[in-house]
Amino acid sequence: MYRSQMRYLQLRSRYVALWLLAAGTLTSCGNAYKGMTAVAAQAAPLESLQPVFHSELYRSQVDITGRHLSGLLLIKTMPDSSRRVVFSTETGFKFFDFAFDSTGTFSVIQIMDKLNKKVVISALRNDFDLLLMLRSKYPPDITAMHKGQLYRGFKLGGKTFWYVTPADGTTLDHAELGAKRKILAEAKWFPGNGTAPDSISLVHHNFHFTIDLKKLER
Amino acid sequence: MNRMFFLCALMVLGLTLHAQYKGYTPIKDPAAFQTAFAAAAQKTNSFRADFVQEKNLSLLEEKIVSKGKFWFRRENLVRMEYQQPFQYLMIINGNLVHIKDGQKENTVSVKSNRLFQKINTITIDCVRGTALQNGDFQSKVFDGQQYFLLELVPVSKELKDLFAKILLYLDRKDYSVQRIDMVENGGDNTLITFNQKEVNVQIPDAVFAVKK
Repeated sequence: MYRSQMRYLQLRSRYVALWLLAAGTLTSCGNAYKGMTAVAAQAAPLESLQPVFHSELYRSQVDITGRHLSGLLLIKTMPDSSRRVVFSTETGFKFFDFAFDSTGTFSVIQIMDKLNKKVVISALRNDFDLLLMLRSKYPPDITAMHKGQLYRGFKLGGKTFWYVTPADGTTLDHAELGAKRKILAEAKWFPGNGTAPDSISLVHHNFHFTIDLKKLER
Repeated sequence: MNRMFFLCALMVLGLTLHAQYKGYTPIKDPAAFQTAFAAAAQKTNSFRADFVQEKNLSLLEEKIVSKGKFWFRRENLVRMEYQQPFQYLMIINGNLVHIKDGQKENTVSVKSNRLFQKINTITIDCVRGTALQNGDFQSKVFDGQQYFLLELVPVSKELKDLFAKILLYLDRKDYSVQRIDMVENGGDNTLITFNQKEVNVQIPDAVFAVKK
């Protein structure tokens, strides 16, 4: 069985690496953020909408350019308030083990060789940074209205982590990882208001890569 | 004085050996064990059991437990069906591996990869009873009240990257595998425990059927 597991691991990691590499070269048309208007922040604090993860285990379904992968994702908040994200196969082989400390600083605890590429780690780091809402305790870099919704943005390099709510900021609609003119990825939590979500979805817009997480009762 | 020192050294060594695996001591007659183990293995044509898998993440103090059913039939047919807390099916049929994950099904060939060959061999060896003949590991055998314990330490770098060691617990009664403990270098481990074991039962071909 471990031969097959390793074959799957290799296939999985190879496709993840290849397509994350390819993603950097793909483009799309239009400006997703055209018409966005900066406003003064007058909304409920974003931190209250941050999903709470004590020690949640999620069944993970990943579709990447026609390939389907699955596994288990553990998200745990440690006593020092750091967060660990561990992804493994159903049979126990670990893909990666990431840590975000209480300030959001990221570190790789472990990653399998095939995935150990800067572009892959960077993409996964951004995805989990977005999903965990690690920046929500800080004041946003940008607050704006767009298409009737309130966007609060946190800049990192050339990208912005957007958290989208109604104008009063009381409920979280979704989050976006955006480039200057494009939405790179979109995340949703169900339910998404300060609890451990039962399910989470993350869709990349610049190439076919989706992650669906469903909480397992243990 | 020298004699006292020697006795003390022996006692410390003895304690160290005992402490390596609590309740286990190095087997006194490895050759006899190997002969008996090989003879029992020859008689093992099929194996069916329930299993509990515990993935222990030591630094996180977390245990991920899953349960399911396991089937094996000589030479290389394996079906591992996870039933709780998720559904996941894996069938190995020769060089083909079939995965069913929810509604999604996929069959792949796993030919011509040296590492996969080795890992597959380990797995089959663990269930089939031929682990001591696997040259990819240095092995030691320990004797316990209920089980024999085989310690398999990988020799090659490619396997060392995956495992620090594999511990195989064999039932003293019939040498059938009771537990497989795969210990990683960082201290995490995956422990599979077999229950409700049945050896040499009829298992139909359909159990290992894969869609090509």
